[in-house]
Amino acid sequence: MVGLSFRRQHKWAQENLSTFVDGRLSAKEVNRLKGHVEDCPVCQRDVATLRATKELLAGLPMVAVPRSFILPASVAPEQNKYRRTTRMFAVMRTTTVSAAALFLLTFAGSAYLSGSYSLSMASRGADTAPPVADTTSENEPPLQAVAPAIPDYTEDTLSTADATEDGKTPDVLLLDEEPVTDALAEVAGPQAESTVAVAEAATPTIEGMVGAYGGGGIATSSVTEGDAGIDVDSVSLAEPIVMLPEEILFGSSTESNSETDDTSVTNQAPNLDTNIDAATNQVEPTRVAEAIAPVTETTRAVDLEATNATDDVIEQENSSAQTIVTLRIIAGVLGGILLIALAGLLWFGTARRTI
Amino acid sequence: MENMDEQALVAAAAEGDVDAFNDLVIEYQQLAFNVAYRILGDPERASDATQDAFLRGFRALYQFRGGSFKAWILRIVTNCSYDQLRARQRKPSTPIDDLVEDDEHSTLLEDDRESPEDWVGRSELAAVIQRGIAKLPPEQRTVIILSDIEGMSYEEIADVTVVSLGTVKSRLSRARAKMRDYLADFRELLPNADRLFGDS
Repeated sequence: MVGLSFRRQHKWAQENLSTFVDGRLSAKEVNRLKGHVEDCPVCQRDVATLRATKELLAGLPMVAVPRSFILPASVAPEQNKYRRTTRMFAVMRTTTVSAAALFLLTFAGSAYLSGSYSLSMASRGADTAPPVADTTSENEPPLQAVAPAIPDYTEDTLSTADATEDGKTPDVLLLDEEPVTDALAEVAGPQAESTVAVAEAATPTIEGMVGAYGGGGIATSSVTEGDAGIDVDSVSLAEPIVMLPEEILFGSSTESNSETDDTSVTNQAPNLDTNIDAATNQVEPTRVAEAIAPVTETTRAVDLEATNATDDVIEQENSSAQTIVTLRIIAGVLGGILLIALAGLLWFGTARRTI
Repeated sequence: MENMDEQALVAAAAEGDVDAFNDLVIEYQQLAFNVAYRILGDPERASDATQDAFLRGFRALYQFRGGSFKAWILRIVTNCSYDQLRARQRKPSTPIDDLVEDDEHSTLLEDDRESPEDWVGRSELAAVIQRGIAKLPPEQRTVIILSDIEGMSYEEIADVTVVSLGTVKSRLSRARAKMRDYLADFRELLPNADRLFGDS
């Protein structure tokens, strides 16, 4: 224990001998050091040699200056120049830090909004059909093609109606039990269903058609499917049933087709009328046209409502897009300022020599 | 120089008064040059460092926030000397061994009563000491110069070097220990060497 204590004391003494030589130890430390030095010949010698070293250094003479270092009067403007440089350095430093912070904030905000916007668009895209205007414009069959095809479906439709009575799944929505308003709501299905419906409309099949025959009854009353004796506004089954694509009758008046633009909506009405006219010409133009009229009005009302909702969504999306673009422009400007400030910082930092 | 006079000169110089600053230069140029000389061991480079230090001091005087002007100007002198050291590392010039012998401005020659033999002995000893100082790291070199050659207190050294008192003490302790070990190899040059450094 004594040896360990001695080594600890010796180490402490060696670290403080120089301060002891300068007389800068406290009284307590001096007593502690003297207590060790008295028993330690190494420390006794080190104290002496340290004192000798100090004396030798203190004995070095002062060297005379080789020349005068007085400044010429011409250096006077340099003080103001240095002051301006230092001030600009400080300004650039502050600008750099501020621009960097704002740039990061703006960039982060832009990225966040972009992410939210993309997610919103993705989720909306999964739930909704593509714009009807595009789809219908590409896939909608020409009127000339629809009209001649109508008589061809007549027989199939009748046979299908009979088959439905046998409990089989009908291949055609000959006479829907639900009112047209409900039918319209059903059309507002997922995108996939709408897409299929539109695609089917492009190549007219029985599934893609809605019985135009008795259209007035569809709009005004419930009509029973499979009823061979359907009496809808005095139209009998003996008369040819006119089939129109669902898209032609109902246009884009679906909730799911919220992205329908005004052009497609407005174009739908002429299509509807024209198709109906073409179809009813095959049967009984006047009566069918009268029967179809309420359907057209209902369809247009729903179209208008959906269009208003679509306008609101589009307006919000446009606002988000504009905000993102604005933030990106601000980030770009801040990035430019940051680069300029960094260049200035480098320039003035080089010119500004530290003391 | 009276402290009040010094403060007035500093204030005037901070407003661009070169004459006022030159009064301060006259007051401290001897000390400044000697510190630079001991750090660099080269009178030419020390002269350049001293001139640069006073010029920098004048330019940046408006940044002086009071306190000891002596410590402030010595801080600039040490920084300029470090710059010279770095420049010398990039472009070596005169060896340190030849410096003291070439120093015609040294006060070593000022004592007319000193014999040529004594002068040679003292001159040689001074050269040995200067070489020993040059072997120290710059931070330790500055501390031992300011303390043992210029006689400054720990507090003043801490002010000049911008470090704590504890750092000053530890740097000084290590610098002295190294100088002691170095000088022990030149016992024949040391007066009363046996008394001071013993037989070992």
